[in-house]
Amino acid sequence: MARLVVGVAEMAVSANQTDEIITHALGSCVGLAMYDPKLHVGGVLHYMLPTSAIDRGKASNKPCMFADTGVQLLLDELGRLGAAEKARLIAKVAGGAQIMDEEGVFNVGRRNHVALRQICSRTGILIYAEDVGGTKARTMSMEMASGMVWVSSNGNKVQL
Amino acid sequence: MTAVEELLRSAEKLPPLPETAVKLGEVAQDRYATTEEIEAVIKYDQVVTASVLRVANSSFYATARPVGRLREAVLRLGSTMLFRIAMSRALRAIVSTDIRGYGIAAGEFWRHSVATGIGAQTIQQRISGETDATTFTVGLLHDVGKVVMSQHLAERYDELFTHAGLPSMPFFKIEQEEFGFDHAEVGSALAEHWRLPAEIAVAIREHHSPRAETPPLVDIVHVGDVLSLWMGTGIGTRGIQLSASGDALDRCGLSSEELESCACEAFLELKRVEGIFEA
Repeated sequence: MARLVVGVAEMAVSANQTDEIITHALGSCVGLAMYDPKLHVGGVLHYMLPTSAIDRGKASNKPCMFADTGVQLLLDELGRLGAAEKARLIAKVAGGAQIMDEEGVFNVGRRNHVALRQICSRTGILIYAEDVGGTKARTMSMEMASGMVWVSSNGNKVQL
Repeated sequence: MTAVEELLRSAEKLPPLPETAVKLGEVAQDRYATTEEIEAVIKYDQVVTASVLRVANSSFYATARPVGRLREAVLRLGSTMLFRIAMSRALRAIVSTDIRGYGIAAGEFWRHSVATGIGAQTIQQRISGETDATTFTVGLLHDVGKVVMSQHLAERYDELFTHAGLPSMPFFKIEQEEFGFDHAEVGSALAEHWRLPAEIAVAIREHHSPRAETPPLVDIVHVGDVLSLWMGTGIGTRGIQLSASGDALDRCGLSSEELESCACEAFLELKRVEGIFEA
């Protein structure tokens, strides 16, 4: 079994049913897992900022840093592996935690989450489950054989 | 003797700050430090010299021909990058064990420290168009008190932070309630012990509580700390229980969008510095 580790501003896709894709230390960043249950093809994205509009140049360099360019790249890569039918993709989301900030000026976690919801609704991707917000640190993993997604936080691992 | 002094005294052997880092800090503090001055400090440290030469010849910098002499490498990298390399290496030597309680591995603690230094410098550059070595040092060392506390109060630390009903408050407040002091105070005392400039000790001490009357450096490092969490660093198993001050951001004169742009820039810089140490 291969374990593909996805770092911050990175993504990984796989069509190998013995693989597991995992991403650690989701704080305000968001992890998005997408899976095609018919083809057993899927991928995980770990992005840190809501929009590439703040710096188009850097977005072309590091597209997985942002929700918009990252999701697009993930869809492209899944399409390359044959999973081009968006309506069949099962999307699951984890992360988007918040720093304690009463005025809400540092709310990038929430904005990361909102950005993803907008992108998904615009592109017709259904979010099946999510574990977002709070101050938790999360680890997200996906088993490629089943598409099962797990989120662990502070020693507790639950299926999403 | 205060509780913090007692803790520092009880620490059998305080981690030393490498001489190269201290000297480079003194030289680089002066904005007009010449490359000759910087070279004069580095050349006595083989490890740093080797890093500097390797970075200067890496794909990012090596535009034309390879450099073999330290002087050329120093010129090519510039003092900001040189200082980052030397100081980051110094902290790496100090942080050899995981940060207990917080559930942060040693390597991750180091990344968070470097990211905060870079984040703070990126903010300062955005505000004023220039940046200085002191800002990096404060960012790098802002949480260094956690190293001492997790080593010498390990069991109490574990117990405190693994407690199931963890109250919803910032970690430094939990430390204050339990010990009567927090890691910012310990870090500040450590900076004094290393005889770093007073402004560094003050900024480390105040980094959780920026106020209108604290120096602007405190605001910059406070927001730099937030940036480094955005970059996904320093997120231990206990989550991100850090409180942040919107007033500090206001005093920096940055909007949320500008801050996101700083995060983006700082992240790419962090990758570059990390790449040096992974090589």
